[in-house]
Parts: sequence; C-alpha cells; structure tokens
Amino acid sequence: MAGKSGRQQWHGGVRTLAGDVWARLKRDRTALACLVVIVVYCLMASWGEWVYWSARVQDVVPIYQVQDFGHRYEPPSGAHWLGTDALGRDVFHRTIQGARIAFRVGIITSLLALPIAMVLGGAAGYFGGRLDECVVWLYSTVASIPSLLLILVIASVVGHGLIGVYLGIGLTTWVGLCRLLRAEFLKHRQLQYVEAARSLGAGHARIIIRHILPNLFHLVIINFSLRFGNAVGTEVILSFLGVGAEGEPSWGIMISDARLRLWQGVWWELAASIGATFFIVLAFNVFGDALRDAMDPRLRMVEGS
Amino acid sequence: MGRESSKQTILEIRDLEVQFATEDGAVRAVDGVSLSIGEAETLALVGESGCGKSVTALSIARLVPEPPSRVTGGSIMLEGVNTLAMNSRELRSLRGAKVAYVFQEPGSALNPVFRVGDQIGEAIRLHRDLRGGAVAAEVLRLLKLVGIPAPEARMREYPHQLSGGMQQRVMIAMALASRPRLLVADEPTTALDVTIQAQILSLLLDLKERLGMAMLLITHNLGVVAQVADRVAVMYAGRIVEEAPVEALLRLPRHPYTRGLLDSIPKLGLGAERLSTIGGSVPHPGEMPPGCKFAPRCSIARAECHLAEPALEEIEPGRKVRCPFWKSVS
Ligand SMILES: Nc1ncnc2c1ncn2[C@@H]1O[C@H](COP(=O)(O)OP(=O)(O)OP(=O)(O)O)[C@@H](O)[C@H]1O
Ligand SMILES: [Mg+2]
Repeated sequence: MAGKSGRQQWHGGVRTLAGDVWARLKRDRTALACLVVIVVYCLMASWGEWVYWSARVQDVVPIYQVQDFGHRYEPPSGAHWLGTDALGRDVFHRTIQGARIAFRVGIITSLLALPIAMVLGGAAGYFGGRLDECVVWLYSTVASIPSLLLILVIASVVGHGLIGVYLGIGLTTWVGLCRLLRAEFLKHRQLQYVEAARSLGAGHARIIIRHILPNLFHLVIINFSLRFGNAVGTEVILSFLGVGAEGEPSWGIMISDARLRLWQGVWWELAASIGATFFIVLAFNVFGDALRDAMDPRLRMVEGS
Repeated sequence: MGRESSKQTILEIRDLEVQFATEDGAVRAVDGVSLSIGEAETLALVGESGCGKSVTALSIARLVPEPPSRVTGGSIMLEGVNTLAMNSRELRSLRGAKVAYVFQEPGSALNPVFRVGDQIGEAIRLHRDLRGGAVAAEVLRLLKLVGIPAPEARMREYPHQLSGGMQQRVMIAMALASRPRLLVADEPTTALDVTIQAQILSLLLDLKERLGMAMLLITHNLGVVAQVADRVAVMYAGRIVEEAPVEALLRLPRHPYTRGLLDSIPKLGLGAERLSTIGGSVPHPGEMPPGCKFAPRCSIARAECHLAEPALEEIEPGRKVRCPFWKSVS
C-alpha cells in the first residue's frame, strides 16, 4: 500500500491512461518527429481550407488557380517558392491545396469507415449467432474483391470527382478494423467486468458502448492513424489515374501533370507533389506503429493486474 | 434462529432446474434445488467445485448466459415476484436494484479503463435519480461505508492502483449502490490474501447487519460459514443434500458428504492424521449414477443407495437431509 501511494506522489497525482501513453510516446524520437510532420501538414491543410473558402466567399479566383502565361515553368524563386507549372500557377499554393484535399479524404473516409467497423464489428462479436455470420460474410466478400477495383466501381457509379473517392475508400477500408473489433468483442463479452456490469443492470447497448468500446478504443485510434496515411496514398493514386479529383490541385493530379515535363528539366512540381505525399503517408504509418507500441504494453499491464 | 421467526421471505427458489446444451447433449447443472432466505438472513451455499453453486446464484437474476443454458423448471420468487417470468427490461431493473452480486476476482470484475469513482457513479446512476454533485457525494459515502481510507483520493484512481482487498471493497460499494434487498457474494474472499479475507468477511457481515440485507454467500470454506452464516445449504452434483442451521450442521452433520467436507478441514490441536479427504471425485455430468449421486464415494452406502435417489427429508424443524441413513452418520 505504502509503495503504491509513494509511486503515485512521485508522478504528481493520479495518471490517466492517455497520460501514460503520452509519457511513452515522448521517449520515442521518431514518433515525435512524425507527430511534428503531421501537425505541420494539419496546419497546411487548415490554411488551404481558409484560402479555398475565402476565395469562394469573395467570389474571386483563388491564388492557386491564378494563371500567368508569362511565367510558365519557372523554377523556384522568391516570388514562387516552388516555382510555377504549365499554366504559370504557383506550385507552392497548389501543394498546400493538395494537403487540404488529402486531409479531407483522410477525415471523411474515416468518418465513414470507422463507424461502420465499430458498429458491425461490435455487434457481431458481442451478439454472435446469425448476425455474426452475416457480418463475417459481408466483410469476407468485401475483402475478397481487390479494393482498387471496388473503389473504381464505386467511383464510376457515383461519377468522377472527390465524392467517388470518399465513398470508394470509405466503404472499402472498414474491413480490417471490423475484423479486429469483432474478435476483441468476442473475447471481452466473456470477461468478468462485463458480467459485473450486467449484474448491476446495464443493458446491451450500454455494455457495448460504455463498457467494452472504451477498452478497445486504442485500436480505433491506431487504426485511424494507419488508415489516414493509406487513404491519402489511395486518393493520390486515384487522382493520378484520372478517377479522383477533377479541376482541383490534388497531389495525384499534380504528379500526373508534371511527369511529362520532367525530361525538360521541370522537376519542382513533381518533387513537391511526390515529396508532399511521401512524407505524410510515411508519418502517419510510423506514428500509427509507435502508437501501437505505446498503447499495448500499457494495456497488458492493466489487464494483468 | 431466524428460521422459525415471522420474518418476511426475501428469496424463495423452488425446484430450480437449469440445463446446459453441450456437445454430449443436455447436462443438468442444477437439478431441483429449493432454497429460501428470509429478511436479514445469511444463507451459505457450500459444495465442491462444479456442483452448481454459481449457476444457482446467477439464475436469481437470470445472469447465466442463455444459450447455452436454459431454465427447464421451477420458480424463483424475489420479494414475491417470479424472476423466471420476467422480460429483459424487467430483469435490467431488477439487477443491481433488488439483487446485487459480488464476484470472486475483484481485479477482473472492475473495468480497467475507468476510475473507480466513475464506476461506482455509473452503478448509482443506473437505478437512482441522482445527478452531478449528488452522485459524487454518494460515491464518497459508499467508499466510506465500505471502509476505504482517503476516499477522496481513492475515487480518482484506476483499479490497478488498488490492492485486491481495496478492489473488493470497491466492488462491494458498487453492489450496494442501489440498496439491494439481497446481496449474492460468490466466493468473495477466495482470490484474496488470508489476512484480507477476514477483513472483507467482517465488512460483509457488518454491512449486512447495518443495512438489513439478506445475503447468499457461496464458499468452499467452512470456517467462513461458521463465522458469517445463519443457515447452510450443502450442494452436491446439482442437488441440495443437506440444509441446516449453522451450529447444528457444524456440530452434527447428517449427510455423509457434509461429514466428509467437515473432516477435510484442518483443526487446531489435532494431528494431521485426523485430516481426511473424500475419496473419488464428483461424477461427470454425463454419467450421473442412477441412485444417490454420492453413493459411489460414500463410506456407508448400501445396495439400495445405488438404485433409487433418496428424497430431501425434513428430519427435524429447519433441518433437511437427502440420506435415509442419516442416523448412522456421526
Ligand atoms: N458455460 C457453460 N457451459 C456448459 N456447462 C456449464 C457452463 N457453466 C457451467 N456449466 C456446468 O454447470 C456446472 C456447475 O457450474 P458452477 O459454475 O455453478 O459450479 P460451482 O459450484 O460454482 O463451482 P466453483 O466452486 O468452481 O465455482 C458445471 O459442472 C458445468 O457442468
Ligand atoms: Mg462458482
């Protein structure tokens, strides 16, 4: 007892699980670097949103769409930090807009995929039986179709543009988390704390949402980080292939535009769009893995006590 | 003894029968169990592992998972209402409010990701119309009631920061949150250190007196029974084999199985040679002997014991035995 209260004082008060994860994460330099990258991109995306909306509200041509045929293919300079493209548009501002689109894709597809995974995985694992069979059949079917193909089908059904990308990615990438949550719910529904909650009069919905899900929420967070990077990468590929963004400066469109001019020595647009894609995808993936490392041992310790 | 007095009956289980669907067909885990507990009374349920104690106790609030289990007969009246006839909504408002449970492993019965104060608060909000500050005040009151020192600090801790004894006190606080009439404690001290066991037991006893609750106490430990219970029911292979006031049973057991259980606890001052165990093991549920279920292990079994199962007979007021040869048990 004395040891325990001593340990508590040493850390300056009671520590939360989130506080503990943060303490672990702080020691991981790579993870911190990734977090900084993510925050920088987040700021870029917010700025991009602001530029986008203020141009729309004022009904003017946004700065990243302003064409200047007198200054085509200009290399990076003080006036254009990342040079200009084939229509004389500023590559730096277009890269910022790419971040805006990437974050929209990451967030909107997550808002679709995570709830689907949580509802289906949770219900299937908790209730089992016929419902479980249906959910397993559904995700096995979705998983057995190559996801790019499925995305292309969905995108072509709803028409080109970002709506197709959101739906295509959102409706195909819930399978991994759903499978994981189903297995975890299957395990947790038999644990004593669930039986104790039931013995106090908690109903199924309350047990699923208020008791079990908080125990598994770290899985949702880890999945969010990993899938965010993958969704961004997929959007770039789709836009590159011509089934994604249209008339908007997605990094995929920029890569597609710039690749033909590379042999003429116009490297900056390609470098900016590929680099921008590369670092954010890498940062989310590495950070997701670091989160997993930071959260897992912690939870093992709690469960083992 | 509370038995003959005019006290109101809180729980009345009659001829309860619970089956489990297994690969080898239906297994009867509880077979015709009848029990009753009066107001402010403590009934101890004892018996070897697997004899159906937990299933009987969990059936009161229909907490045995269905499937694989199924109640195939009997009735359970809790304050005059049959819980076996309740729908799931009625059961939810029964659980915690009328009957509450304390389980064996406090460490795993608490949710690892919530502070203990929040968990007690959740238990309060489930059945009582308290909100905000009133809940926090009630959490504090409950923590004090179960004897947790420095409750203001403790309520902000996570379960893993508490010792096993403190965790069990928190579980008891949660069980008491809605002032149940009946507290079911399923081996509440088995997982704890010996020194802590006594503390938790005296806490339960004290709370029971103060709050006037009835208690069903499940235990392997006959020492615990002597300390806490008013009456004892002994179970074997899904049946009650003996039921008696606690002093009478400990002084003079009437069923050979109870005799065996008493002989297998070490007694102070007597040599180890007096210590014996019951030979053989509990029959497998699929291969129940046709006659008395204890006959294959019984030292006084006769030929007829293996043919027909004896009935539970009342041999004196408040005392029942499922053995026609109880006079030869000593
Ligand atoms: N989930 C289940 N599936 C199948 N059979 C079960 C299940 N739970 C219990 N049983 C059966 O019910 C019988 C009684 O189990 P119960 O848990 O009530 O025993 P117990 O007396 O509480 O034992 P212990 O002292 O070990 O807690 C077991 O022998 C087993 O055959
Ligand atoms: Mg048990």
